[in-house]
Amino acid sequence: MPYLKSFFVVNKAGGLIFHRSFSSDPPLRQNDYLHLASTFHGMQLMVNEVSPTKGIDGVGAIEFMETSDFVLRSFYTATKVQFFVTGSPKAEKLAEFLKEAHLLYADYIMKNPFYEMDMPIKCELWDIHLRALVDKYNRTNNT
Amino acid sequence: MTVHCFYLFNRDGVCLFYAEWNRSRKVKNFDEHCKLMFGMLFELKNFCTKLSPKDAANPPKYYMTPYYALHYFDTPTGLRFILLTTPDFGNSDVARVLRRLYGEVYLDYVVKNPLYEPGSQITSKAFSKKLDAVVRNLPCF
Repeated sequence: MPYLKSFFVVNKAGGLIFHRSFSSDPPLRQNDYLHLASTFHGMQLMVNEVSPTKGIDGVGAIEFMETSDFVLRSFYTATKVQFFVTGSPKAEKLAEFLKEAHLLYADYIMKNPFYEMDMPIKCELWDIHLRALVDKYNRTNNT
Repeated sequence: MTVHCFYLFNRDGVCLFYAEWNRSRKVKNFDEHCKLMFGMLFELKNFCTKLSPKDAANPPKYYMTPYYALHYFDTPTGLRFILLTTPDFGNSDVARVLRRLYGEVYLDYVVKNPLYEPGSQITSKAFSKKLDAVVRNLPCF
């Protein structure tokens, strides 16, 4: 049964501003998540640099990656904030999930007057809605 | 649908072999380019292993960007076989082809070649010819 494993939001400087794990996999330390996020950010720049063809707008970052233990889908917003989600190997429709998560981000983070750009996200409403979105994803893709 | 290029790195990051077919963005400084590529692959594998719940290494199979796809295969001896294609490679099983390149082409034409010095660049014509044939046979070429 496909399910979501974890979800990351990385700001334009490569700092982790939000992370949640949804699976029963043993969690890493918080420091490791920060490290993973900045590694991914740096890797994206190199991925673009080694491209064998010229990109139209110059952003040729990883959109989808597959390994034997998980799949990863990533999404760049126009403001260079990066969303990425990992799921179990057969997980599908991750792009749709990211798109909806981006909508939630726009609604609950960007419209929140107390949120400062590029700072870690601590917002209860966003947490609740994201949790609901994950549950919806796991439900609809398991039947 | 096409194949851009092929890299073979050893465990020390030396590019043993490079071939290109349809590459529109030329490489200016090849040594620098190889260093960047190897560094990226190294990070990529570390990243995937770290993110995986298992303790064992978890190398990526491939990744896709809007402009190209990179297929990755590594061996326990640290060889890395890399093939860059367009993202619409569809159903062609590139991972299997990379394994074949290792099992049939690399082993037969490099390892069994008594004149080959481990760690040096592969100059064998037979190897490059065979590799070229295998890649051109790919359905996504």
